[in-house]
This record gives sequence, structure tokens and C-alpha cells, in this order.
Amino acid sequence: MLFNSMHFAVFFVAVTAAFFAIPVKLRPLLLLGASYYFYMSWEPGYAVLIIFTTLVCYACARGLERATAQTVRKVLLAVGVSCGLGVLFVFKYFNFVGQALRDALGLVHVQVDWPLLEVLLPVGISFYTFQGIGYMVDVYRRNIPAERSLQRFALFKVFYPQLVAGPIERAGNLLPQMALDKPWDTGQVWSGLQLMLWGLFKKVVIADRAAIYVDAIYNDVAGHSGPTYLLATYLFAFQIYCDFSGYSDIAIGSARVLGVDLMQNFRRPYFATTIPDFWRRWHISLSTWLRDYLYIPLGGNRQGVSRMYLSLMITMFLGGIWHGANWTFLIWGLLQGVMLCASKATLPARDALVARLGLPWQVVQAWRMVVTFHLVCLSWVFFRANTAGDAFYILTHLFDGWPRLFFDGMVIWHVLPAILLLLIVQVLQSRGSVANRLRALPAPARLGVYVTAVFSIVLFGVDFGSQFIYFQF
Amino acid sequence: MSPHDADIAMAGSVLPARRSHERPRNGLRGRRSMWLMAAAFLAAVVLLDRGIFLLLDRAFREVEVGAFGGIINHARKARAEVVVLGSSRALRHYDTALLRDRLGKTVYNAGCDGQGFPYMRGVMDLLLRDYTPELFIIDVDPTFVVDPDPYLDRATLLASFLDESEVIREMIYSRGPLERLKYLSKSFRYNGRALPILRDWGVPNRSDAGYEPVDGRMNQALANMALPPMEGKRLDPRDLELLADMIRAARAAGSRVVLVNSPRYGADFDSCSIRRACFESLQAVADREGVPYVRVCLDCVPELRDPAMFLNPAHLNREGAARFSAMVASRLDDMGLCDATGARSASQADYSRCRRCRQPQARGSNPRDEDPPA
Repeated sequence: MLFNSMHFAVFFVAVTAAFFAIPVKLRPLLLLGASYYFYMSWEPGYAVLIIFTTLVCYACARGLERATAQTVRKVLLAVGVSCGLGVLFVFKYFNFVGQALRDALGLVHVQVDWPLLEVLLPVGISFYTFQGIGYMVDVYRRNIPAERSLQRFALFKVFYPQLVAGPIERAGNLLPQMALDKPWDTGQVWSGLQLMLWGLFKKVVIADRAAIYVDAIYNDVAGHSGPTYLLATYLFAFQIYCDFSGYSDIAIGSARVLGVDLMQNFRRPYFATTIPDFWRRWHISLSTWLRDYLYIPLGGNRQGVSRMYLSLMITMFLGGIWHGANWTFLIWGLLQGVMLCASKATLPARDALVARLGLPWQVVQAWRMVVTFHLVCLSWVFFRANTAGDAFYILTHLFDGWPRLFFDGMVIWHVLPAILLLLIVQVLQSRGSVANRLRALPAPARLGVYVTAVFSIVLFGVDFGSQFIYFQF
Repeated sequence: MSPHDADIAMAGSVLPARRSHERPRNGLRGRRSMWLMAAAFLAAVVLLDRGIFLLLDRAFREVEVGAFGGIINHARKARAEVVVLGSSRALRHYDTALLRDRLGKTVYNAGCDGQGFPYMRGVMDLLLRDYTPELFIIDVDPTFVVDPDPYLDRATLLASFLDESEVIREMIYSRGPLERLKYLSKSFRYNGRALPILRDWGVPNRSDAGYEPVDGRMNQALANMALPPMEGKRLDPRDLELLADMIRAARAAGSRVVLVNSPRYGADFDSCSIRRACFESLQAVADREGVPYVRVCLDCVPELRDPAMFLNPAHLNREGAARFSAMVASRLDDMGLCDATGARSASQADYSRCRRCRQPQARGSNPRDEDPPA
């Protein structure tokens, strides 16, 4: 069930209406059932997988809380984490590792018969696995108590707004809210609905429309000109941002309607002035997860500069692989790691140069924004390309065929005004809450904004119910 | 955690603080104002929906160009005796002037970029509501009968004719169990088409009865390009049934039908097992429904092996289209499909001069064999 489908619209209205109509104590049960229905609408069989990981997480966390011996606690944590990662490995990485191993051994003329699994990747497996691991680690660190109610914990694992593509929630934030005892709050409901509308706009008007052009080029890379590759890559930058942040907005909005606050996942990432800044703004729930559960345990930046760079590279490498079992994601992660390290290493020198030249700070910031955006776009080439070969082909043909451009007017004239609107909204956001501004408008003007948004979606959205990119991760 | 550890992640808390504007408004006034706002919103949406629909619908009926429905309006006005249905390949392969001269009939090329059988079925229904063409030439392609394909989604541009055609209604509603709900919005019929309609409004159709030839020649890089990948696809019986339904509808109205497949550069019937299966299935439908199927193979029209006849591997250029159209005209003539009486109509042996068209050769005979590895 996609957020941009009629199926979800009916589901959301029905669940929300029932949620506020039934007694408070029945709400968790209702949402648990609804969340399982939501997940099983993709593939009913995979509910077994999520039930299994839920039970393992729950039991391990309870054990972690009760156990006092450090060895026992370590074993319990290892069991819990291994179960989660084991499931993830089997479904997501088994074939990739097998293929890579077979290819590598083939180079030295050793034939290995590695069996390939013919299984469908369960939707959102990386997200709920990481959420579960984060919970167990938090209990292990005694940052939070283990949840006693299995029902509440199960709901924390499968809460439908964020189940399949995040935000990857922290137990400390989400678990206490799973009591679902907040009364109806008109302001929250409006705010949630607004966010959902904005998310849907980003998804169907910008991301899905841009995808038409991007797919045409990236699915058939040969024979296009440099400007065409550039345009496709720029459009992909907005496609993936609007696709994923659109999903996050709908997730956060639909949770807010139910009185649950999810964490922010994006904060105007293309306004970042450095690569580290970009990672403070892009997929925040993942980057903070990687920071807290991987980067810091690896040593963070407290054990010397070289160790810090190594930790960064490992973190970004694993972050890349988290996105998918493909060489393109691996290269993307490594490239991001290299750019992070380079940015950190050169920032003091760059700042000193700027100070010596006496350039206006706004100009420097704008220049850095442009450069960061282009560096990110460079990495998006690997992220989007179907194969690493395709990505290298595009990068090595960027200067071919100037100024010939494959111009799909239907895509461009739909997408450009929408991207412009997106950027205007983001500039406004940087100067204060857009929701507040909207709220300050007189009712007819507010109504006009909502109605305009609805008809933008009706008239200019793409109606093919296309999947969100991050579902595959 | 030390603040230094926040290197790769965000600064500060990511948890949204409670916003000042979000003071709970749970009282009767808060709820009442929300319901009032919701009611006003709904009323505005309904009114505006109708208004936008009326404007766009009125404009659309005057549009006669473009792949977003305008050419359907033009085709309906043309009332040609022979109508070509198909995709961009049909649009660029059937030279209507040449066919008109050779067949002595008015011909309209109603091919449309990116479309498949669902679109053709809808257009055929609209035409048959207006009049009865003598002959439908349906340009078929293996990509039309495999799953997954995008053609049902793309046929939603026929939504403008939802009120006119039961066939179109059923087809569009078949996209999903809740599809009808979307079309409660009248303006949704023009989803994704508002800008093209405004662009094409008042632009005269200068095509020669729909035919849109392309000039230019394929370069070597294009000639070496792979054929559209068919791996992982399978025959879709629903597409074949749609074709059979199309044939039956035309015949029930008194029109004749001929299936033709136009050439792709370097691709033959036996280029890969899936293509072969597609062609065999199309032939089976033609046999079952008793309509002729003109299969153009590269042996019977050897000049189509020449890359100079193509703009790209999927599309003939003007010169190639002229040769192909001449060949089609001659086949139709041979079959008597354009006789007013239909007296010479058609055993398949009449047109199958080339043995290969009827009996695919062994695999591997084509240097560009695209069979997926076992």
C-alpha cells in the first residue's frame, strides 16, 4: 500500500476515524492490527519475519534489563543484533555476496557453486531492523528501560506511518508515545494534514514527474549528450529528495494526526554548505543512527585524526551498503566518505583563505552551497545508475555533444515551476515556520492555499502510483 | 556523548519541539472551526473541480494535435475509410498519402507515441461510435503482449472520453479496485494534460492524415544498440484477449481488420525466445479470429536490413516508411482487403510469400540474437 495510492487514502481515513471513535485503551490494538494490514498488503508472508524479529528484540531487551552479569548481557545483545542482521543478510545481501565471491574466485579460476536465493526483498527490512537494533543497544546501555508490554513494543516495531521507509525512530522517543492516549488536538490534526499534502505534492508533482526524464536517460545511458546527462542528474537530485522527503512528510504528518511526533528526517539538504553539513540535513534519522550506534563505538573523533577518518570511511561504506546490495551503492558510500574526510580536512585552510581574501560571507556561503550541491550530484550518479559501468559511462561522457540537449518539454515545464516553488518554500522555512505563516493568514487565504495544493496534485501529479525509491532499501 | 561526536550527523536535537502555534485546541470552538474549515474546503474543492473540468473539457474538444488526445479528435473528424492504429511506430511507419494512392481509399494514421492495445481499443470504440471504417490496420509489436507493460496506465489519457465510452470506462477502472474513486473528481480526467491542452489549443493539425514521418538516418552507435530487453517478461494473456476483443468489436460493427507488424532494425521473429513466443501468440489470435496477419520479416523485405532506412532501431525514417507502406499496400491489395466487396479476402497463404514469416528459422541465425542466458 503506497502512500500515494487511493488504497492508502481510504485506509488512512478509516483508521483515523476509528482511532478517535474507540476508547483510548483500544487504540494500540487497533493501530497494531492496522499496521500489520498495511505491511501485509505488500506480501502477507513477510509478516512472519517481522513477528520473529519483534519477539527476538522483545525477549533480548527484557533479558538485557534483568541480567546483571556483563558477559550475559553481551551475549544477549549479540544474539539480538545477530538475529536482526542475519535476517537482513539473508534477504538483502546473500545473493550479492555470493555473486561477488563467485566472480572473485572466478578470476583465479576457482569455480564455486554458491546457491542463489529466489526471494523478494521484504519492504522496509533495513528500516525496522535498524530500529530494533537501536532499541536493544539503548537498553543494553541502560539509556532506556526495556518495554514490558509486548503489544506496545510490537506497535513500536510496526507503527505503520514509519514502518517501511522511516524515519528510523529511537525507542526513547517513540515507545512512550505508543500509549496513544493523547486527546484529539485540532492544531495537530491540521498540521499533520498540511504536512501530508505537502509530502504528496513533492512526491507526485516533482519526484514522479522528474522520474520520467531521469528513467529515460539512466535506463538507457548510451548515446545521449553531456547536457542531457547533466539535466537528468540534476533532476534526479530533486527526484530523490522529493521522493524520500515526501514520504517522510506523509509519515510524520499521518503520525501527527494520531498524536504521535516522529523525528524530522530532512532539513533543506541542498542548502548545505559542506558535505558534513549535508549529512546533518539529509536522512537525519539514519545519519544520527549511524553516528550513535556505529561511528561513536568505532572511536568517533576522540582517538586521533587518522582513527576518525577511518571511522568515517567505515561508517559511510556501511551506510552505502545499507541502501542496497549493489556496487553502485558501495561506491556511493565510499565516495561520500572520501568527500566527508576531504571536507573536514580542508575546511580550516578554506576558511583561512576566505578570511585572507576578505570575501563577503554571503558570497562564500552561496559558492559553497553550489559546490556542495554538485558534489552531492556527482555521488547521485552512482546512486541512480543501474550499474557501476553505467555511472562511469555517464561521468566520462559529460562533455560530449554540447550543446545538444534532449528536452522533454512535458517534464521540464511541469517540474521546473514545482521545483522553484519548493525552493521558495525552503527559503521561507529557513526564516521561520511556514506552518506559522500559513496559520497567520486569514481563513479564505489559507483555504486558497490548500485548494491550490489539492488541484496541483490532481492536475499536475503523476498518476501511476509509483513506488517510493527508499522502499527498496 | 561528547559534542565532538556529532560529526556526521545533525547539530542539535532532531525531535520537533512543540510549536507555539500548536497549542491544543480541543474545545468545542476548536472542533467547530475545524469542521467549518473542512466543510468550506470540501465545497471549494467540489466547485472548483467542476469549473476546471468544464474549462479544460471545452478546450480539449477543440484540440486537434498532440499525443495527449488531440489526434483522437482529429481522427474522429477525418472519418477515413482505412484507419491505422498503433504506437509511435505506426505513427511514423504508415505513409497515408502512399496508402491512399495505392488503395484508392481515404486513410488516417491514428498511431500515438508510447501507446499499446488499451489505447487502440479505446480509440477504436470511439471511432466505431461515430461511423464504421472499412478497414482497421492494427500495428502490433511483441512489447504489447508482455507483462509488465505500461500501456494500461498510459491509456488513462482517454479519460476525457469516460462519459462517452463504456469500453474506456471499464478499461480505466480496471487499473485498480479504487480507481473509480479518483474519477469522482471530474478534473482528474485531465491529470497531467492541462499544460499540453493549453499548449495545443488552437494549433491546426498540419499532418497528412495523422502520418508524422521523421527524417534523418541512424548512426552506427544507434545501430549497435541493444534491442529492448525482454528478459524477465512473460506473455500476458490479458493483452492477447484485448486484441481479440478489438478484432471482434470491429467485425461486429462491420469493419475488417488486418494485423501488421512493422520492422525493428536487426530484430526478427526469432531474435529471442520471448519475441518468438509473442509473435506466435499474435499469430494464434489472428488465426483464431480469422483475420490476416502481415508479418514483415527481414528476408521478405531485405532492403529493411539497411540502416539508412531507419531513424533509430525502433523507427523507420521517411524513406523506410515509404518502402514499408508500399509493401503493406501491396499485401493488402493481394489479399483483397480493400476490395469494396471483400471478395478476395484472405486466406493467410495468400500473403505469406516468405517461408520465414510463417515458419521461423532455427535460433542463432540472427547475429543479434538477444536470448537471455540460460
